[in-house]
Amino acid sequence: MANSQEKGEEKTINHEEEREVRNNMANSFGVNTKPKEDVWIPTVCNMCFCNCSILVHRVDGVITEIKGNSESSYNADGGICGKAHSGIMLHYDPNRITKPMKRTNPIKGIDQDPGWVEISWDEALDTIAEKIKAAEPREVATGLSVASIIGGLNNMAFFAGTLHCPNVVISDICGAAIHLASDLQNAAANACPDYKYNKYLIQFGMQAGTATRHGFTMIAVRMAEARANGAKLVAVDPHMSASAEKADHWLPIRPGTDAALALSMANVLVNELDIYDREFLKTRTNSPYLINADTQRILRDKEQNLPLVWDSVENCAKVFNDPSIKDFALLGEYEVDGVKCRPSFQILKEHLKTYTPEYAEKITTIPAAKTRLVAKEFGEAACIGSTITIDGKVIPYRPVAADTFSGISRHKHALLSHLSIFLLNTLVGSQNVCGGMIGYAPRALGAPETGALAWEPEVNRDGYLDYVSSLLPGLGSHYGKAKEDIVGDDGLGLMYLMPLNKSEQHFIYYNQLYGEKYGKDYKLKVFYNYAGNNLKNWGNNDHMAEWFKSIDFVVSVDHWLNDSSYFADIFLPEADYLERFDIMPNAAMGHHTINGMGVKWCIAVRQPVVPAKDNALSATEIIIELADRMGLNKEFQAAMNWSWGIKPEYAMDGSRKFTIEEMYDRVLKSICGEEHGLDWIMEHGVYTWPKKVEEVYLWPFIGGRISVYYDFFLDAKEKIGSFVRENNIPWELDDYQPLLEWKPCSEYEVTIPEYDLLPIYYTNSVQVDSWLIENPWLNELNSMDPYAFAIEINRATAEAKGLKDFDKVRLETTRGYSGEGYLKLTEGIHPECLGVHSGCYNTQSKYMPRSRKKGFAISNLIPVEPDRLCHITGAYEQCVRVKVTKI
Amino acid sequence: MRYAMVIDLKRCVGCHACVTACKAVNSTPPGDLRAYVLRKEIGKFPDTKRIVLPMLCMHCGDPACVKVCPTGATIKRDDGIVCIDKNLCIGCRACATACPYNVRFFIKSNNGYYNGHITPFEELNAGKHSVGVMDKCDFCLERLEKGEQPVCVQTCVTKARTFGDLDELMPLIRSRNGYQLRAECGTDPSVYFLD
Repeated sequence: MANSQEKGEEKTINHEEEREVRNNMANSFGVNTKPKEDVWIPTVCNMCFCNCSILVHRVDGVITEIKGNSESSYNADGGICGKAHSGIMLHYDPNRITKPMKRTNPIKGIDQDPGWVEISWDEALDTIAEKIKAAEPREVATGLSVASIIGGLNNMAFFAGTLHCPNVVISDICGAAIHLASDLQNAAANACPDYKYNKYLIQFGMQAGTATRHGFTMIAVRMAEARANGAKLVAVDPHMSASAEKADHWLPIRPGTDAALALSMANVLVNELDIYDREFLKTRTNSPYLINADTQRILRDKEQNLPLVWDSVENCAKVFNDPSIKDFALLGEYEVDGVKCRPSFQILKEHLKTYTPEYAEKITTIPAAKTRLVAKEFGEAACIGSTITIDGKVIPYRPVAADTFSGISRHKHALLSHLSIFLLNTLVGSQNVCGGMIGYAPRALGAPETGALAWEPEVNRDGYLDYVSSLLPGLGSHYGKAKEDIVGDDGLGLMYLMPLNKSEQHFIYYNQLYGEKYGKDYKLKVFYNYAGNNLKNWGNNDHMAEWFKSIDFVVSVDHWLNDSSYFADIFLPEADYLERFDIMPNAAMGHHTINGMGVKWCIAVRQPVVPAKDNALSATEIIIELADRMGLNKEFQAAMNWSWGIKPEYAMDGSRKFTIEEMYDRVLKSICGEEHGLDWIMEHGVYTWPKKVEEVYLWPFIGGRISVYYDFFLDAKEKIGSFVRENNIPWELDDYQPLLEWKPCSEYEVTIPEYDLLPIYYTNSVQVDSWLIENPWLNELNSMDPYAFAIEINRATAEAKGLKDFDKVRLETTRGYSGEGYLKLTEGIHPECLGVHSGCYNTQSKYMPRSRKKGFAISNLIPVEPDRLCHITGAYEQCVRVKVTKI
Repeated sequence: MRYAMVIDLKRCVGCHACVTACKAVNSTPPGDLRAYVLRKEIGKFPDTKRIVLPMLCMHCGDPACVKVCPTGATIKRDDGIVCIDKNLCIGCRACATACPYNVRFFIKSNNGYYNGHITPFEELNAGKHSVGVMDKCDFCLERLEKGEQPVCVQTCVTKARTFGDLDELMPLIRSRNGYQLRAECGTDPSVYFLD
């Protein structure tokens, strides 16, 4: 052909040439055309609540790839997890609902076809607005899933800030007790080891950086680097978790006994090895505060009512902050004005003697020698007394941490357990210092151009680190809340009796059906359920079905028609995360973002990569529309102005409906400055500024004391106690106790011999909920995982019971709740446990074909009863004894 | 020049990010996993260990697959990458049998991940894979040609993977006593593992 062209001869095409073209064509469908468009759009992932920053590749309008945005803090230096890559399949899932629907079958039930018919957005929104208007505020609840917290925040601004609805229903458990424990110890609702410098980490009931936790990818890269450089990891978990796989020691503990193990390690440190940080205990804890032997309360001076300590040099009592104190006594027995008293550390030290490793072994099943070994390694690695210089500042260096999270919060006495674990850090002085445990964002000095997003804890009158922040700045003082007068509120969650509970209104699940027990004479009539699958994610499914049926009008905002949607009257499809804006998807950076040197402050934009299918709205846009239809633009915008700290010059005045783009722009300009509004961040993806050493470590810069003796719990106990006695409310007050203690969880004892096993659940890095099984790439991984949908059982336990791999079995509780599944024998689980992935599977919805009837729902076995709830924090006891029977 | 990869198992947490990243970039059909992660339990409770092993084509120096390919479809390039000419492959699966690592996949059908409902993503990438032929990891050849790293290396959340010229990686491999899997098979893999 080339020759013929050179010769200028007439061009003819022969058969061979045609065949060659066909050969090339045969494998070219869709690949040989140069794309008209080929762009990478910066946005924020939403395949879990970590909200990593991503870049999304769009070619001719089609999403082809997702990768980490290395400009951002929120990922593993450009690496993202298995779920994040799979977002493409969520977006293109044909089972994702994109048009509003209403039910036509009035009978609700998981066995009822709701008779869905499509309706217009106008009809859906008008109906919802009318139903909300027709009900009293207290009869209306908003719902959210912890996994979708950002839409949840805007919902709450609307329902709580605008409509004054007291009821907020969380479909799953949040951190419960851990958030209070972290507030008290690390001045932030979440805390993490200082991964960059940490050398010895004990994880209790968690898989941070190996499979899960807020900021998983951020942690994974740092922890791996630390491990590669010799850091040690200890995993305390009844199940061979992802952390246990990587651990130097796996401590397979009996569920619900972590406090006993932690306190026995504390005992080894204090009473056997004499390893504790005296300087830290004296100056940064209430260890030297004198405790009145008669009242068990802190002894205070008569003039100022401030805590007293004993000056061991001058041999007299002084107010704790008296500058003349030569040295603080930690030990001993004293008498002040005729009152016998001891430093709280002396009391703690004696109290810990109960928890010998041998005593704890009987509770935890962890061999005493192993407890001693880990305690010794931890104490020796703490480098007590050493310092490090960072950016010219001298910081105490304690590169050890005992960390705790979800597994512990699934028990009634979670608060005492978390605090017992954190006590290990406190004893060796590794709280709020380099290498130890630090809050996620305890202190923020503000964005460089505006000074916005600035907060810091303060030291209160009694010397405690106090006034802490969380998702949004400004949650206030726990010490103050413990004393404030109780004002009876209307919420079914009984939050007025739980002043230290941050968000978990789980009494709603009981009081909606049996509220008379707590003096509640009304029921919810409207439930606006954003992204929650309460039926599967809470307790016994039959109870939850009755709960849903007792609510007149339920709205479900979701991507799929899940089991809970079977009880919805109207289904609103939310645009997916690749189709929508979300205002501040990383909130105020204090919740999902770990702390540490080198972790930049980072504002990231979630923006549409492609138009929303069928013009579905975002959660925020739905709320904007509802506010407008209800004539509440002014009230809602005022709530948004407050929630997001919109500066007066950008504040929305309620004169008209504002679009989400307008709201977002105002939030961004308030934080990042006039030049860095929505247009700027849509192009650049992230706005960052460096973190200062003063923002990372509190000990040297803020000071303040944390507790080893929780005296202020007794303020709450006294106040709530007198209120419930006067009002004849059945209420538990026992866990308001100053000394930490292990207490058996529900059904700790085997009462009927054949009901001998405890089901537990765990997550891995790609599967946490039924909607992720719907994702075919992620579900393909399940096909390679023999444990994915099985019930794991210890091999020896199974053999003793004559059970084999893949035996079909029924698990049944003493009250007759049951479920069926198949067994997988393993050496990777405690002999008294059964292990199930995620614990809320076995989807029944026919609209979720891939996850339908796969896996096992432990949630179905757990009674929804008040005596399983922590009456301080809302933690939910999930230990339930089962009998396993071959079927 | 011989491309090679080092995987540090001390870092790897077996999170499957490499697997789904590979899925997206190579748009492989259902059942075709160019990258995957294996787990195996050893020991008796409580002295149990669960071993994690991320897998991919080992890009052997002396590849068994090349030797047995009857059509010359599987070749080893000068840069060490073993790849398949899909036009020549007849899907006889001799290579899969010969491969000591179980990292070659026969594409039986490409009906998409939603049982015949082909997503726009799958439609756009449909030309990348043909039914009736073999498929395997090619160290993300297309990305290498653009100067990028294989996607499993780029996305790894623990930075467990290092990619480059074998000569340059050799000091790292030697310093950590790196090893090839199933070295006794004599195929001289270009993927090394560090404990």
